[in-house]
Amino acid sequence: MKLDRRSFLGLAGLTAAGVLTGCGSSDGGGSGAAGSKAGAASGPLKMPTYVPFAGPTPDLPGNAQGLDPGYLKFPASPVKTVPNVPGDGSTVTALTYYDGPVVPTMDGNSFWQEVNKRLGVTFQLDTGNDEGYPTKFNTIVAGGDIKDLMWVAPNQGLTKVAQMAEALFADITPYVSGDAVKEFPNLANMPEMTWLASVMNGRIWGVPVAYSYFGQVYQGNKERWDSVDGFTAKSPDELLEKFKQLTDAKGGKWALEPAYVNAVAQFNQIFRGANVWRLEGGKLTHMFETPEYASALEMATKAFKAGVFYPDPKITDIASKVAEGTVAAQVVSGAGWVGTPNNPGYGDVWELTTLIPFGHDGGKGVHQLARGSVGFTGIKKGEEKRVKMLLKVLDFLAAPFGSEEWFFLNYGVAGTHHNMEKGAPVKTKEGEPLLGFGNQLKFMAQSPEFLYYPGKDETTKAIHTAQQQLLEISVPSPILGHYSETNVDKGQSLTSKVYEFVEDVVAGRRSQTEMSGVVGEWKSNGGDKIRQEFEESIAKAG
Amino acid sequence: MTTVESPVRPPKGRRRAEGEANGKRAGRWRRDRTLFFLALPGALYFVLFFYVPLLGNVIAFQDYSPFLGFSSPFVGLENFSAMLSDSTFWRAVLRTLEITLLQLVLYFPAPLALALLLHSMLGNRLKRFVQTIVYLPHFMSWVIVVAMFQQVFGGAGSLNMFLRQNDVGVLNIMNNPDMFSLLVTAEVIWKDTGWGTIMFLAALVAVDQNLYEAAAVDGGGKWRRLWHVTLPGIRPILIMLFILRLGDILSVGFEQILLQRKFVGANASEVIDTYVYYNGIIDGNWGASTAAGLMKGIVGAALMIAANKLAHRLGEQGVYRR
Amino acid sequence: MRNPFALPELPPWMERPTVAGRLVKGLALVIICLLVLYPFVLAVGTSLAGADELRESGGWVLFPSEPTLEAYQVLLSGGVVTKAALVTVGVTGIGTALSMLATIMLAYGTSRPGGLGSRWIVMMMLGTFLFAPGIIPSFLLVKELGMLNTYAALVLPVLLNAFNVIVVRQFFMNVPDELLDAARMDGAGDLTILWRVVLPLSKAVLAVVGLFYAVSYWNAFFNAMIYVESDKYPLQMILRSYIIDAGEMNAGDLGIAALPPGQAIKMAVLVCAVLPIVCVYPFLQKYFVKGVLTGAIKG
Repeated sequence: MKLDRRSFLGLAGLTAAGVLTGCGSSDGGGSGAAGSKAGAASGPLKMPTYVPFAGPTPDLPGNAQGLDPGYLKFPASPVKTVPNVPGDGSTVTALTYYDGPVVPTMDGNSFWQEVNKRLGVTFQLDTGNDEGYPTKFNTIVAGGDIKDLMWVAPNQGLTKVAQMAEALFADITPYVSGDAVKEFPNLANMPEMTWLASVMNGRIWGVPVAYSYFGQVYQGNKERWDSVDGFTAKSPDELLEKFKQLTDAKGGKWALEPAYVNAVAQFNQIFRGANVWRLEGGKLTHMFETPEYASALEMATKAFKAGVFYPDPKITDIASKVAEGTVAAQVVSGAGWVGTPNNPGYGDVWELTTLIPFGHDGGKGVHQLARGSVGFTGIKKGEEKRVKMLLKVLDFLAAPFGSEEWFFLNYGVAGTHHNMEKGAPVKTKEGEPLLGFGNQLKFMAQSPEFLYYPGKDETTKAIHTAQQQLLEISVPSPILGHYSETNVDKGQSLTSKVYEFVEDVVAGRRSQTEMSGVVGEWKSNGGDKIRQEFEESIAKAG
Repeated sequence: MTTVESPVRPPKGRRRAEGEANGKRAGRWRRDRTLFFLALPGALYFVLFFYVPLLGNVIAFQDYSPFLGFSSPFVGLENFSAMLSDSTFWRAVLRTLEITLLQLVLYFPAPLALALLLHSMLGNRLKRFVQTIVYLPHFMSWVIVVAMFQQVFGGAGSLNMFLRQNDVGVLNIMNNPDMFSLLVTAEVIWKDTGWGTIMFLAALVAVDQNLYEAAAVDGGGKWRRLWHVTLPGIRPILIMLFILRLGDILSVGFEQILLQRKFVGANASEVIDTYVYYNGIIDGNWGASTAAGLMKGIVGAALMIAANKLAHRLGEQGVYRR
Repeated sequence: MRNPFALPELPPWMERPTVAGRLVKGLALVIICLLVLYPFVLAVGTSLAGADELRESGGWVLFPSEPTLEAYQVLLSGGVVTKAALVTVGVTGIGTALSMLATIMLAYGTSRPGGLGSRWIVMMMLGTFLFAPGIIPSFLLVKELGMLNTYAALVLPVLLNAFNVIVVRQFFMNVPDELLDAARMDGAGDLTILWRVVLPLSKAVLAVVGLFYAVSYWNAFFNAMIYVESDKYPLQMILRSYIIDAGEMNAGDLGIAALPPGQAIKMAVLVCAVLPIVCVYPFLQKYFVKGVLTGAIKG
């Protein structure tokens, strides 16, 4: 039920760690900001009023800072959130992201037909995945046949996003700004930081796709970490020592997955480094320029020398390697780290533990938040009536866990697509492939995050607790809600160059003394320009 | 179009002489019109499906954005100069050439050798069986080929686990920047040698069997027959394949190399195509990647023309006539 | 069974091979076969392995202790794969036939040295090796031709491959002039010569190029991704979705309660993708095995 961003951002496993990490925390949309100060980020823009969903009370309460509500049981009486059929009987075309197995087409898909009926529209979907998505998006844009709804990926191969949005998409500010959003109760259920994903140049250009607030975390195999007194330490050296204890190359055991850049990012949190950017007195500093990042890099290099990383720099089945204990810890991001316990075939055989970053000096570490969204869905320019109808459709799709609409979108019709067993819905064999259509709708708009792992109460509680601990030391990104065209156009390749240098250093192929030269190149090739653009945007917003 | 009877009976003799002798327009038209009409649809096909969209490569000179289309702003040669002034690009060119040359020397002859071996087999059933097997790896995607190589030769692969357990040092094969070009070539040889034999086998069966008999009657042993009958018989095909490969010299397995980038780092594995990927495509910079494509094409064209000229000098047909 | 090592009847002029020679050859072939076969046996074994066994063995299983078809069942569930397979078979069959027709016409049409326009057309074909039209202009063309979301978009943009045309042309040009002249003496025109002389002598290369076309249609996915919507997806689009994502998918994403591990599915995909070609190849193979010219000239 969770969008698996890891596979998308990993570009079919083809790209460097820089890409994956880049998406986790360093892209143009910036990362999460729990506070409300970000609302001022775009000057006169009044952000949509946040009206939380008043549904079934969760067993483990969430909060507006990003803590996900946890449910140990399926809500007994889902609440209706959309009173009327949102659609007007017309056809709605869309381009959306989908990377699951291909879903049976409309003619042979009773669930798809039922969705059409309940939403009052005929969905005609075009989908793309991985590196194909930006290609598909760009060809459709170049061809001029803009779809009614188009998902805008946060940082993958799209250029001049603000200009493009202005040219193609409806400015939905008048319909969702301030209290206007209350007309769409499920959209009003999205907190401000989620909305920032679709804010550019002081206007709102679409409906954000809600997603986890949490950045990357180190997730470990609990059994293995228990053997060294848990996945924590008081100093970097102690942690390194534990890594060594967990490594036994002869016996085929290693402490860490070989994602060097992600490891550096984790260590960066121990040194209380910047969440990509750090804002002080209106001036931005990039983490590449900070001593904290250098310390983190040094630590990762030591770890590599000690041989604690899995010896091949790429693993395709890392989840199973952690599950069986071959590798003691892996970096996971966003909803991925809560989704992993459900991994098929591995779900019941291991328990997870999470590294809560400690401070290198005995103080506290930090957790660098993501941004609570994954891109946004632009609505094709058109008459107000049409745009509002499409907003209502998205409002239906954004229905939260605990609502009737969510229940329907994920489990279809009782008796056909699912059956109730012990108070919880279970998909029928025939229904399963058909319900895949529901996953295709999720990258248009979806429920905010929640924790629900039927039959795995302990896992649910453990994740909820870890989230609370991470929130206590969380650091938002200062550039959330700000737009830098240079970052959109070139940020990806600029960052990946530095990350590749970082990989070379960790693996001992280059020396860390070259860092300043590499960062200097990053600055002159666009890094400084990105900084300037963000600073101007921040200054403008006051 | 229905002319079955050609009114002009070309004179006997070598066909090359025949074409040159028959220069007169009208005569040529009458002689060649059947062939011309046969070729015309195909020619028009390439114009429509290749050359018309090729005009779109004008975006190499633009700061192209899909939503602006071809009215994107022109930036002159900026896309080219940005690349040509980047030292990383030149390193990628060198690495590409290194890998291409290795492949020309090591991979290009491999299918020919295997084809000759297969062709010399006398038992038909065995021959068929072997043939059916050797081309299988061609159908494995690079993702799987690399995964299998890693399974055997990787840092945690079966070879190194075996060495570790016997307290012998590990052999760094997959993660060794110095081995990278050789490794990539070895993978190509494993994957495509069998598939490559098919073309040569087709060429070998087209060699006139009477020539073998004649050579044998003249007292030529099997090695002499190979040298004086077989190889000359397939020489035009060999030369053609070689020249065509030259046109593509600046492309080496993009997906294959991208998949192994992390093993040895960007420094050691950057080839032109990956450079373009990380400096253009990944950012959605269509202009830059098109510019790179144009440059590759120009280099390929120059090499192909030169190789074809050389072939003519040596008295071969080449791919096209001089 | 006949002894597979028995020598066939040799032409009278050919010397009998030495035992040592045969041994060396045989050894070389055995090694080559093992190098190539082993991964495939591994792939088939892995595709049949269960989740626990795969986990314990680190992802690859040569001979599963309890073979299961689970991975194949997952692939085939929902009817999506079956439909896509029909699309692929149709596109491959029709596409290959049309491509061969067009290739033979163009190759023969340009095969006479000094023929009218042939030099220009060949140069034009060579150009397609060197440069590539962008994705977007090609998309716009297909759109202008009204082929978006039609099966034609899976065939026409890749109908002719210049490499294949040039190869066929080269073989056509190698047909001995004596044969052509003899046919002309008999009053045959160009089309008759093509049909009666050139094509029968070129069976081997036609089989090869036909195979090339068929394989490229069979493996094609990119144009499908760009030009058609999911109801017209060919098999490779479906299979790819497993290859790319199987490792990352979790049960919730799929809506499938217990999925066999990604590795088994990936290998099942590989087997599904290769199997049809393994089946077709022997039918083409006879054209590579024995020479064609002797018979033609004598007969």
